[in-house]
Amino acid sequence: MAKKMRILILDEIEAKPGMAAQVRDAYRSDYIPAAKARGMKLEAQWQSPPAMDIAELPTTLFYLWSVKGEAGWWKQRLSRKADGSDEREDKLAFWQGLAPLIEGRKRRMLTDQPGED
Amino acid sequence: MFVSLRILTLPTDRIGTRETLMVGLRAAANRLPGVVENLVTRVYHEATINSGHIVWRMVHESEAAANAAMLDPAWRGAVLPLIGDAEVTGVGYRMTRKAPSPGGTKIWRGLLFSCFAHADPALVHELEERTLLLAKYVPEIRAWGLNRAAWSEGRKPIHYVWEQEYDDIAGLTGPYMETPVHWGLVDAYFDADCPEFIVDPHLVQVVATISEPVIR
Repeated sequence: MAKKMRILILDEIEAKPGMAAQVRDAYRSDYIPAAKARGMKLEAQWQSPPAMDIAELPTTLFYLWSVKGEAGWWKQRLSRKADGSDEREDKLAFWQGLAPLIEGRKRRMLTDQPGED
Repeated sequence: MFVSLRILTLPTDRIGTRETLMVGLRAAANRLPGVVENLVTRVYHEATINSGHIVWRMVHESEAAANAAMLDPAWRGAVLPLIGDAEVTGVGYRMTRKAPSPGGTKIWRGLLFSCFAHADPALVHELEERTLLLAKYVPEIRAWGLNRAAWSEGRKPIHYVWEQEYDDIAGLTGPYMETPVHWGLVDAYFDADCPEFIVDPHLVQVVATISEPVIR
């Protein structure tokens, strides 16, 4: 049986100057628990500038997630709430709530490079 | 050539009449002027979203012919009495961007979707270009069309019709869903977790078995 491809999901969120703590708190309290419930595994959290927020500068927060194979990816993507309804509205509400605090964001899908074990 | 595609959703107490309705609709549509092809078939039982019960896809000589068909006495006298109780999701489009079927395909799939009114036109263009990458990189897609709607009718507007033909349903449920082009590049426009999200979540995905090519 073929080994499942490890798919990584990288969120890159640029918090406005002075807003990094609020963004970090919102992501930790609202997004991370919901994402874990969708089968996503949080692999790492990074930031730049390193180690500390600089009040005069934006802070970029990185959150690296993994899912197991394409099935794991679609599981988080097509997740449903307990009542069976689409969870997309909740996801959208989270990101819209974050919008006033951030300059911008990216979400990218990553894998190992071809030919790597 | 101009296509009018309609998805009929029957009231619960009419579902039992589906086969009779389809027979009547085939005959009624053949009485309409300017109809080049007429497909009336049941919606497949798998891999569908908001897809109702009957697929009705007509090819007309032109957009004007499609419009004229709806004003023909046969429309009022033969078609409307059949579909009057059904919820109709319809879209008309010119087949301008396509790769015709080589023949031998067994499954037709149509994805009907719209973009938010405030969607950035640059993102809409990206969505189109990336969707076409699926046609290039998924060999199981044996024929395809990605076309903008000229008009739509029903619960929600429809802006795009993304059609494909496959040799079997596994081509859609397997390689089409598993390719990294899909989950890594195209789906972001459908995904509320991504900043590229511009596609209205109300999708209509309809699948039907076919015995001859639909995308020509």
